[in-house]
Amino acid sequence: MKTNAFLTELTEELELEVSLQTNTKFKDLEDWDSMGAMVLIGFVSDNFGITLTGDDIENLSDVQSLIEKIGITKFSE
Amino acid sequence: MQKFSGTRIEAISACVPKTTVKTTDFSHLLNQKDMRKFEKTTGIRERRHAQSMVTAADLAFYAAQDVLKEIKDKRDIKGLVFVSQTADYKIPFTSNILQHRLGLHNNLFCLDINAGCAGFVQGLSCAYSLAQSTNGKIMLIIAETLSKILSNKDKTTATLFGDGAAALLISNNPDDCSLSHFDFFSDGGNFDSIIIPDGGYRNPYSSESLKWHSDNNGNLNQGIHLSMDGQKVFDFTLREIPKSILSILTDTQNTTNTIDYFLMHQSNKFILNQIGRALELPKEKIPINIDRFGNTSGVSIPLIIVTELKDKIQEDKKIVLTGYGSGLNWGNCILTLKPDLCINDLIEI
Repeated sequence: MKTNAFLTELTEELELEVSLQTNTKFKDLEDWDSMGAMVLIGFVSDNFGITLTGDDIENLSDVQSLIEKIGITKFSE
Repeated sequence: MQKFSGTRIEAISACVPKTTVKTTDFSHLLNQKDMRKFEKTTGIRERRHAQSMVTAADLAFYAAQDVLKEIKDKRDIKGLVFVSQTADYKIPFTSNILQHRLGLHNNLFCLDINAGCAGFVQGLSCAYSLAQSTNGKIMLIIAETLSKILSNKDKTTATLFGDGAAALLISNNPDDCSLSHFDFFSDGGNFDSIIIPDGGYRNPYSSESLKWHSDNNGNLNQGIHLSMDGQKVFDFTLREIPKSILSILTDTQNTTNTIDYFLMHQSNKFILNQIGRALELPKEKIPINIDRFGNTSGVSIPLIIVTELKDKIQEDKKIVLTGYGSGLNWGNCILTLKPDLCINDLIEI
């Protein structure tokens, strides 16, 4: 998946007011909560076939760390 | 694994309170956007809550009375199993009270089981065992009023649960060779993932029980309320449930193709979809009614038989039942629903 498309689709899925960037920190998002984490787990599962755990989400520093967790080879510019 | 031959569900009734609580009724906990996200992820649009004077045993009574219409002689009933976490009293146990209230004879084995969202599968296993050893009919009742043990200041629980009850008649026919299998798992190390901490004898009621405590997200609970580590339960479900279903399918020489329906505890639509995806199941094999009733704990599986499978059992249907929840505890069952299974209309009181 193209990184830009990933950022746009994930922003829409999480219904965020601001667009996600690779350096966006999830915990800094105003709307970030357990439902957001559930939506994120579903989005990653649907698009990449990977099931993240609560600990995985807790350990994500920013969107770039999510991309690395999914696998950087699965993204293109 | 437990294996039964010739034991089956004869009849089933379910009862829910008339009072409907919509997600918009939680505006003190959720803003409009949160409500939209909540409905999108959990799938819950409304749930039923019992009025203050109506207990789980009351809902159970109406469901049981309805299913009793299906038998000619109440003396055929040899056992009554009542599964609930919201019984009428600490002492005595509720099945004994229901024996009298339902007009059942007193030469009857009565048993209460305190079990959570896996409780229906546990209770069914117990009822099957009793049906085989007594060679009579067993009444299995499961009933919950979780609305009474929730904090209305905790959005993780207040919005999730609904009330209801179901009653089933289980019988054994030695001439019937259809098989049923049950398989259970327990993880007591995570007992505190879903818990009411106070009011038992580990933490007896005290003035401390009524103090409000806040979690990291601002949800407020007293020690007498049900609290849940949602993320831990969510992880547990996705980690354990799909592989446990695959395990019972393999051990019974079944595949997902040989099963007509997967009736799963209605915990959360998102979780059901994830389990379905992990098992590569078509959506029509996973009936869902959480949108109308919320998470009714162990009641959810029999409730879905009543609301979604009535008129759909024209021939033998092989089904998987999957329960999971507090304990942590989970279990699966494979059985056959027969065309003569009596599924009564849902009762609302």
